[in-house]
Amino acid sequence: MTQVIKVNLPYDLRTSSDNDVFYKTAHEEQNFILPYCNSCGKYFWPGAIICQHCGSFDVEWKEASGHGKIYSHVEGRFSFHPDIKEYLPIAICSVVLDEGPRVFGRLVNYGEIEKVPYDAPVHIVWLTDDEKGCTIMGWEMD
Amino acid sequence: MNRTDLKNKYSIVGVGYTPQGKVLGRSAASFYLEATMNAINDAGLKKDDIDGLILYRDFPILQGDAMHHTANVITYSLGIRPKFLSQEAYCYRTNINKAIGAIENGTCKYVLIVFAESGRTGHRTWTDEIDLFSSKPYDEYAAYGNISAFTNYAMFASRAMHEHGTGPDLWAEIAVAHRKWANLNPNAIHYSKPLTKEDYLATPFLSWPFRALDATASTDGGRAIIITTTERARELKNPPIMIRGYGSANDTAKGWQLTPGDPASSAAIAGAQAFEMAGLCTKDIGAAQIYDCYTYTVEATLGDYGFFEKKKAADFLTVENIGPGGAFPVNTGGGLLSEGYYMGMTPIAEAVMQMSQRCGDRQLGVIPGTKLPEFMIVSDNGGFYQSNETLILERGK
Repeated sequence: MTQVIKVNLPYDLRTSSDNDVFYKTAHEEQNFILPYCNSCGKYFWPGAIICQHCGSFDVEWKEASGHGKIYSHVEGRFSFHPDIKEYLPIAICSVVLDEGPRVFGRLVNYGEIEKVPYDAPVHIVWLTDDEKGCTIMGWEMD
Repeated sequence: MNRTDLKNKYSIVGVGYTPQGKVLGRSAASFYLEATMNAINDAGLKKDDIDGLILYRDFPILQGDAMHHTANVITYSLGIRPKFLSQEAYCYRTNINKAIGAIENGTCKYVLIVFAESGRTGHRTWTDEIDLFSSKPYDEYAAYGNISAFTNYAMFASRAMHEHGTGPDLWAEIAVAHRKWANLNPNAIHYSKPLTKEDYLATPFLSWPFRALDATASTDGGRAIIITTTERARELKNPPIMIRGYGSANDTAKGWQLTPGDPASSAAIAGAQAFEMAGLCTKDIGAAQIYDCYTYTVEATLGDYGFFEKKKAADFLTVENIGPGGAFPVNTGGGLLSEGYYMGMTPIAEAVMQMSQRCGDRQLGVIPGTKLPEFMIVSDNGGFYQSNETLILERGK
């Protein structure tokens, strides 16, 4: 069972009807799913009506590992908008999943940002805001 | 048709500036009109000669303006009837392609490209879309806390620290070199504000690994250029600054997905197209005007163009080499970082001014140890390093 951390998010989660199921599944079932192409056998993200790699319409959602490696990370310390001030600092990362796609997320439980190693193995941790009724991706080092 | 058929067929013939920096009480529309008329006057044309008008992206309007600055709204105020109008909806770069295309297909004779803003006085923060867009929040990533262009570029630069060994020490050199150029440019916002590497390193991280001094800032003012055929340009009062080569390309990556050193980056592809059309290589280029929204953008762009090996950027991007008096001048007006943010108009206008020898104390060929370049490379970069138009300009003789 994937760990769920209760948080207060700075803004509502805006999703598209094409990627909605990703966040809904995370929020309701805590499952990590990815769009998968039955034609070329590759995963992609976010969800779309066609495969990002080959353009096929034969795409579906598949359960995925929720494991990957940190590609890049930053730590936001400055309030670019007044509504985010109380939530800072926020570390944000991109993660190359074991299945291939590079996804987005919050880095959690990381200590000092300067010391976070690139390519470090990470796993998914769901960040759930009960009041806003939504869940986003968090990543924690293995 | 072969793209090399267009080599030097088009020229930039006029540049329009406005007061810039913090200019109180002025609408963005007024800067659009002033920059446009100044470019027309600079070229020795009449406003009715402009039959193509292209605007950079439309931003949410700020105090002082009643209307969005769309190309048709600006047209009404100019009192002209252009055959061709266009504007970026967002920050992808298409302007040179569109201008040359509209003339090449016989629609237009003189195409004017303009950007203007009242972002400094109007406090555009680059996140005000959160408040001003009709839907809140404005995208999926806001919930994660990613609400600024700054964050996406910082992610790009952060990975480059790992891939290429870059970092704040190198970016400090870029920031200081730009400031030294700005200190020679009376139009620059930071004309009278010197900056040292120590000053840079003493400032806090806004989004690690970037500081405020790694980024450009919003400005008031506008800037415009006019493109026509080199044949027509020879009848006008300014020496034609010829477009020897140009290229454009767009990436498939999202802003936070950028890959430092990607051989298929928009800058790499657009640059290669421009060099191929021009029949030149990096060794032929005497100076560069690079879209420097962030310090690292200068490193990424020049690296993708092939001016240095990416892991050896620190040997090339020194204050001594790219600053005033250096062997390879970069952003000789101070750039977006230290002169002012007018999108691609900042580097393009500076290139034209340098090559027509109108740059005063910062003029290449006048500063001891420098030469007036025969060829200059110019980048215009949009989105988050995802869209690029590159120009190689040649000084008409």
